[in-house]
This record gives sequence, structure tokens and C-alpha cells, in this order.
Amino acid sequence: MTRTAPRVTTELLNRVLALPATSEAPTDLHASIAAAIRQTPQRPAPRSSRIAARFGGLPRPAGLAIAALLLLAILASIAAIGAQLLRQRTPLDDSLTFRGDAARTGVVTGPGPGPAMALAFTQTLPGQIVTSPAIVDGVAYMGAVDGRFLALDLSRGLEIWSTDLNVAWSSPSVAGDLVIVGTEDRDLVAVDRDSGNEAWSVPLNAFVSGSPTLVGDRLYVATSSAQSRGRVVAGATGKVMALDLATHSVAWQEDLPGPSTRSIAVDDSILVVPTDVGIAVAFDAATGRELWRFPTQPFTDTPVIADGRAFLAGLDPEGTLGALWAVDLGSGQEVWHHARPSRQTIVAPAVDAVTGMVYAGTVDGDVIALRVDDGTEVWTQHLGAEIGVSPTKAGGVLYVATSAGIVALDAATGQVVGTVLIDGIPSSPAVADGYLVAGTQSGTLYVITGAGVAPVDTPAVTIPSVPGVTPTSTSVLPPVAPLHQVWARTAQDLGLATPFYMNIAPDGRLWIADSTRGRFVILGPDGSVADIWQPTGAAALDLVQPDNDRWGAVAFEPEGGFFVADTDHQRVLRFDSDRELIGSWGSFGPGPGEFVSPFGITVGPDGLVYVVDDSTCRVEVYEASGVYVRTLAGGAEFADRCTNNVIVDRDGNVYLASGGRGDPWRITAFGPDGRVLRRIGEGLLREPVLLARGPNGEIYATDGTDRLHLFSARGDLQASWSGVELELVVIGPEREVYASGPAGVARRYALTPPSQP
Amino acid sequence: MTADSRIAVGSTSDVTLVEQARAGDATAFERLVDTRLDRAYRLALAILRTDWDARDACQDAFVAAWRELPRLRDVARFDAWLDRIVVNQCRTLLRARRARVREISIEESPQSPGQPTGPSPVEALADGDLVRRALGRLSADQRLVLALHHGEGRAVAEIASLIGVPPGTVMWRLYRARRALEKELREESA
Repeated sequence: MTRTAPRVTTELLNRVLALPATSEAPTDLHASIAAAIRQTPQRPAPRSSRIAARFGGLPRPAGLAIAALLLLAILASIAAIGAQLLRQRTPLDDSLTFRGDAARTGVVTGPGPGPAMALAFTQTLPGQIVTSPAIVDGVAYMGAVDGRFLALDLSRGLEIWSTDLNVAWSSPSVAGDLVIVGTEDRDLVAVDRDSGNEAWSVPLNAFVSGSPTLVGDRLYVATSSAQSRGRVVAGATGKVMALDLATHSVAWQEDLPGPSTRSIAVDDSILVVPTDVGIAVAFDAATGRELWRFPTQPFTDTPVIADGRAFLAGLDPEGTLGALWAVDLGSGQEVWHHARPSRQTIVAPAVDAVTGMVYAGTVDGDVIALRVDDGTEVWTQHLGAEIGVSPTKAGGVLYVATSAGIVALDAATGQVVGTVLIDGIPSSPAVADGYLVAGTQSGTLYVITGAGVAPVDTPAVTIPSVPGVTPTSTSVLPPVAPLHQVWARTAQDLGLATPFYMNIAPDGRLWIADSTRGRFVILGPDGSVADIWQPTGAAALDLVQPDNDRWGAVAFEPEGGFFVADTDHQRVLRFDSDRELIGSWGSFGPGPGEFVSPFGITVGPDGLVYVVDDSTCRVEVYEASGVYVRTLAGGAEFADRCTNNVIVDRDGNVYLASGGRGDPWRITAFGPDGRVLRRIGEGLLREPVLLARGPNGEIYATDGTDRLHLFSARGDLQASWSGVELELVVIGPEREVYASGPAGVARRYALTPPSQP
Repeated sequence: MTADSRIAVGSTSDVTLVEQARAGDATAFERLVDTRLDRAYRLALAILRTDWDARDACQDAFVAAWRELPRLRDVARFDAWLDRIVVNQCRTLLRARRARVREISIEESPQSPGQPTGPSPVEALADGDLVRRALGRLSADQRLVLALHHGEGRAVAEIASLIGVPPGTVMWRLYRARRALEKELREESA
């Protein structure tokens, strides 16, 4: 027997989801929590970042390239432990070491998240994450630059333990109950997997930036006498060392032609050691006897061993020498090589000997699939975003970490089958136990599972091109007089229930939307309540609904007509100067003329109406009558990252603030045709950024540091005021500043503009 | 409980307690737990729907808050910060447990019968049961926003602040959640 499905009404949801009034915590819960916190140490307060300006002195392209190179170096240098398992050629569900196994194949036969991958959770660590975790039994072991070394329960997102072990660049490897890693103190350290307690430490007097490599009872590491952070340090030297796992004594060691900051690959009895001077060296694992050398200048990435060959990527940030070589493992002779037309860096590949395929990413955004036997290109997928780390294959899916997100591709065809957007330059993802784990240089750890939340047909990551980006000038500013407060009113003063938005009308009065009461409280220039307007009739029906939050961003036409963003009902209401409702437009949806969350609104000098849909960060442009004109902004760069107000200068250029999730906060200026003109305030602005237009088209922005900045229309910073708590501001015709924020719902300040040179 | 009635760190004593706890005083932190546990539990219960899950989330959240407290820069934001931790713990639990779709029995429902108007009490109970089962099949994020909005009565802007996304995203998720719920209910009824 079937019955009609109940209609999903607000009343039904409220009834089903409501809790009884007396839902109190169980009486024993407090004691349980108290006992737990007595056993839990507090984490120390964060130290200031030592790494922030690492690339600051470099030209941007070089900085990016070196950042990618650095990531590669660090990630590659992390992983050496599963060789004893490799001997058996047994696929692992865990990822015991960097790239999954001691041959660094990047191929795991255990489950990955699959095409329907979705973000499970993120965790922010105090420093950059440039290494890959080892994953065993659903626990990830990893470190962060300037941070800690920790164990994270992936199923619950909870930290199991953390230590002050100074790990930054070495990805750990797991050997039984131990996690082994190189430290910035130039030691090789093993900690207990369960507790994080140090089991042993071997002082090497050199940096191990790669992942320790375990083969049977031998542990192999490559060293650098200086921590190169991916750069070649003049005079730095390197060694390869074999240690006995039980006694930690050195069995043999040999000099390398240069420092090594990436990981060793091992297959059976041969070690292949990369160096930062672009020479890969093969050694007999038992004796340390050198077997051959192969040049891959200028910089050798972590080797991969598969099918009797070593696959060697030569990294080249200048983009003139980048290539990938397949070398016979026994003789060291080249079998084939592949270079991109751009000669850009190809990062260390994943190599699947079973299917006979090599998968690699390039710094200019291609994923390529080549045949193992002859290097023939099978497919290429252009993702457009920089790929600075190695891909990982699990099942039939290839996971690629790009600067815009984690992308899943069908390994057979290269077709994109899933994406998860991330912020920041990622570390090489570790895949195990159905999880994909990747960190970013901005310190966010992304844990991705195949929970099935994301649709299989998620579109490919698209990276918007940004033409004509012009750095903002931040020259020495003229001194300015401080903001002088004229008056301040509180919500209680004004009888406001939910003050939400405000704007200046052409008559100089300040309109404040009291959103839950569906009305506007209108203040005169002296801060007194001049009027209260409660829309009635059709407008009231639109503004006052029983079960939704209400909003009231308002924008005025010069003659006194105005528009109200009715966010909850995905529409814009138009009123004439007599406050009569004379039109409305919009409906729910993602297309032109549709809104998901129309929030910010303004009127341009051309009479066009600009509406920010803050869910998608689109700026939709309409004629005053509601006729759709065009859409600006939107796309991956802005989604979930913009603030919700928009301004238009007197030339019709549009300004939108965005940032967060690892992206710097900045203001993007669009021309009337939607073309990006310039970025403004990058490096200066802090979250969140709200914009206001001055009477002459100048741009004001508040940010999270309680500063008010003044920019010229060209994007030059002209003045900054601080010392006043500011959030939303609007600027009146006399440059008076009306501000709203925690210190008061409405305040007026006098602003003295900077003197012009 | 509405947003307006929630506790806020505003009094001198609260600020002092947070500062003391931040400096490592476990007794001060326990006093903060005293005044906030019921609220946190209700929040967790609204999202997770079972006592044991809510207990787990609360315990994990308070322990995490204690551990991370030295890193809280603005003590005045302690409550908002704590709420976010509770919500994050709930979200983690939801995701971890989504693999086993739980069917919440009518007996588990905290709602007493007889409140609603419209459908008869019997129909209302049956509808509620259907909805609760369908809710169990939604994604963690969808359940989260529905629970916060309809169960906790939190405004969209507040939910946005809690889970760290723009208000529009919350609205979008609410919309998607309701559509998904309708689809589940249609399939359930069929």
C-alpha cells in the first residue's frame, strides 16, 4: 500500500526537527568532560609564521615555479618505507610512505574516494603543509612547516596526538609501530604510532627532507648539508646512507654529486637517488656501490621505479629543460624521453606497470598519459591550473592535485569525473583506506572521501584567466587626520530588532533596514529618526514572510526611486520616489535573470542596476525595468569567496571584493564589458572587505583590521584610517562616513581627505 | 532556544574565566562548561538527533575547545567559537555515520504528539516518521542546515557564520535540502 508523500513545509520541518523545551545535557556528561580535559594538554599559542615571505623577494613567475619545485622537493623527499612489502608486489590499502610504496609508483590498488568524491572535513594547521601524510588504519601522520607533527583520525577528524617534533619537509614513513621522519634539527626520529612518544633519534648532522625508505631491515635516507627548500644552495653537499633499522647504526654511506632533498626510490636491490644538481645516481642497496648516473638537469624529482625502469623527471622552473626520462634500471641507459612543447616542468609521474601507463602533470596545467614501453602519448587533459605535485592512481581513477582543486580523472581516457575545490598550493595527495588527504601551503588539510555527496558529473575545474593584472601601488601615504565621530546610535536607541543594511538616499538621509520587522528606519543627518517606513500591500507580502530571514539592501536612483534586494525570495523590488511598488523581477535559479541569493545592490551612473548574488558571486546587471543585461564575475575564482556588496564608479567600472580559503583578499575591478581591469589591495587587505563608493567615484574599503582605505579609481592606495571599529560603511555626499559594526548600529564620522600632492 | 537567548561572553566574570582557562586553569574551564553544556548539547542533539551522538559531539567539542583555547585570540568570541567547534564535531560525526543510514524510530523522536494542526495526530506522526527516515538519507551538510534552521531556529546569517560560508550558500543548501527531502519522501511513499 502506498500513501501520498507529505509536502515538505516549513511547519512540518519545524515540527519534526524541533526539540522539546527541556532537552538538557545528561547529568554525567559534565563529569565525563571534566575528566577528559584533565587528561588533555593544551596546545601552545601559535608562533608567528617564519615562512610567510619565503618567496616574497622573487619575481612572481619564478616564485610560483620555485614554490611548485619546493613542493615537489618536499613531497618527493618524504616517502620511503614500504619496500619490504613491495618485494611481494602486494598492493596496500594503507599508504605507508610517500607515493604509497618504496618504488614511489603512486599507484595504490586499495580504494580511493572514487569519482563521487567529496570533502569530508578540513583542518587548519599552524603552518604550511608541504608534505604528504602516511596513512595507516585510517590514521594520518604528518607535519606542517612551523607547526607540529601529529596523528589525525580521519574518520572523526580528531587529532589523536601531536608533538613538538620539528618536522617540516620530510614526509613520514611507517614501519610497524613506528613513524619515522627527518627533522629540521637534522635528526632522523622514530615516534610511537599510538602515543607520539619518541622511540629513538639518530643525529645525522644533515637534513633529511625526503621520506625515509625502508627495505627489509634497512633504512635508506638521502641528505643535504643545508636545508635548500627547493633551491640549490651553493656548496651544499649530500650523502646517501643505509642504516640498520634495529640498531640505527650506519651500514654504509656514500657521497652524492650534490644535496638531495627528495625521496629515494627502491626496487629489489637498486636504489635510485635524486639530487638537486640534476643527476640521478643508482646504488647497490646492499653494498652502496655506485651503479650508474643519469643527468636530468637542472633538478631531479623523486624517481619512480616500475617495470624494470626508472622514470626520472627533470624539474626546470625556467621552462627550458623540463622533461621526463625512462631509463633502464640495470644499465642506466635512456629508453625514451618526453618533453612538452613549452619545455615546462613535468613532475614525477605515477606509473602503473600493470596497465603499462605513465601519468604525469605539468606546471602549465596538463595531465598526460604515456605508454611505459615507448613513451607514446595516449591522452592529454588540460586542466588549466598549475600541477606541481605527483598524481596518484587508485583503481581506475587518477587523482591530480592542482592549484585550484583536486581533480579525479578516468585513468583510461583522461576524462574528468570529479572535482573538489581547494585553496592554496597543494601537497601531493595521499590515497588510502578510501580517503584522499592533501594539505596546502596555506595550512589547510583537506580530507576527501567518497561519501557520494558530490555528483559524479561534477564539471571540470576551470581556471579563469586574469588578463592585465596590475599590482597595486602601495607607496608611502600622506598623513591623514583621524576620523572624528559626530554621533553614534545603537539598535536600542533606534528601536531596531535586526538592523541589517544601510544606505544613503539622495536627500542625504540614512536608511537602515530593520530586516525581521520588514521596515526601514530613516535617520536624518543629525542621527535622529526622521521616518519609519513599513512597506505595505504587495511589497509587505514580499518583505514579510513568517518563516524566513529577511533582508533589505537598498540602492537609490538619483531622483529618489529605489530598489530593494528581497534576498529570501530571490527578487528585486523597485519603488518610485513616493515609495510605491512599481515593479519586481527575479526568480530562483542559477541562470540569467535568476537569483539564488540576491544580496548586494547598487545603481550605476548609467542607471543600470547591479545585483550581487552572493551564493555564486555573480554580479548581474539589469535595466531599471528589470530587463536582464549581462553577468559579470562569478566562476571558480569568486564562488563562496566574495563579500556581498558591489560598487560602480562613474565610468561604469564594477568593483567586487573577494578572498579567503587561502586566496588573498583583494578588490577586482571589471570594465563595463566584464573584462578584469586590475586587482586592488592584494597583500594589504584583510578579511573581510566591504566596499563603498565615494562622491567622486573613489573607492573606499573596510577590512578586518578595522581600517578604512581610500583607493583611486586606478587602484592606487591614497589613504588609510584606523583606530575605529568599522564594518559596513557608506559615504555621504560630503564625504561623511556612516558606519555600522559591533560598536554601534549607526555612527557618523567626519572624514578629512588627504591633501593632494 | 532562539539565538537571542543564547549566552554571550560579555560579563567580566565570563571574560575572566575564559582568560584563566586559556592560561591553563582547568577549573575555570569547567565553570565555562557548567554554563554552556546544556546549550551545546541541545545544538548537537538538534543536528544529530540521538542522545549518544550528541554526548559524543559535546565531549569531543569541549575537549577540543580546551586543547585549542590558547589559540583563541579574542576571548569575547568564545561562545561563537565554541558553537563552531560543536557544529564541526557534529558534521564530522554525521559524515562518519552516514555510511550506516539510521532509521530513527518514533520513540526516539523528542517531539510529543498532538502539537500540530492540519493533519490528524496519527497522520502527523506518520509524516514525521517518514520525514525523519528521509532526513537520515540526506547529506551531512543538508541535514546540518535543516537542523540548525528548523530545529534550532537559527537565522541564515547565523548559520553562515557558524559553518563559515556566505549566507547565500546556506540558503542554497536549505533549498537543495528541501528538494532532496521531497525526492526521498516521494520514493519512500512509493
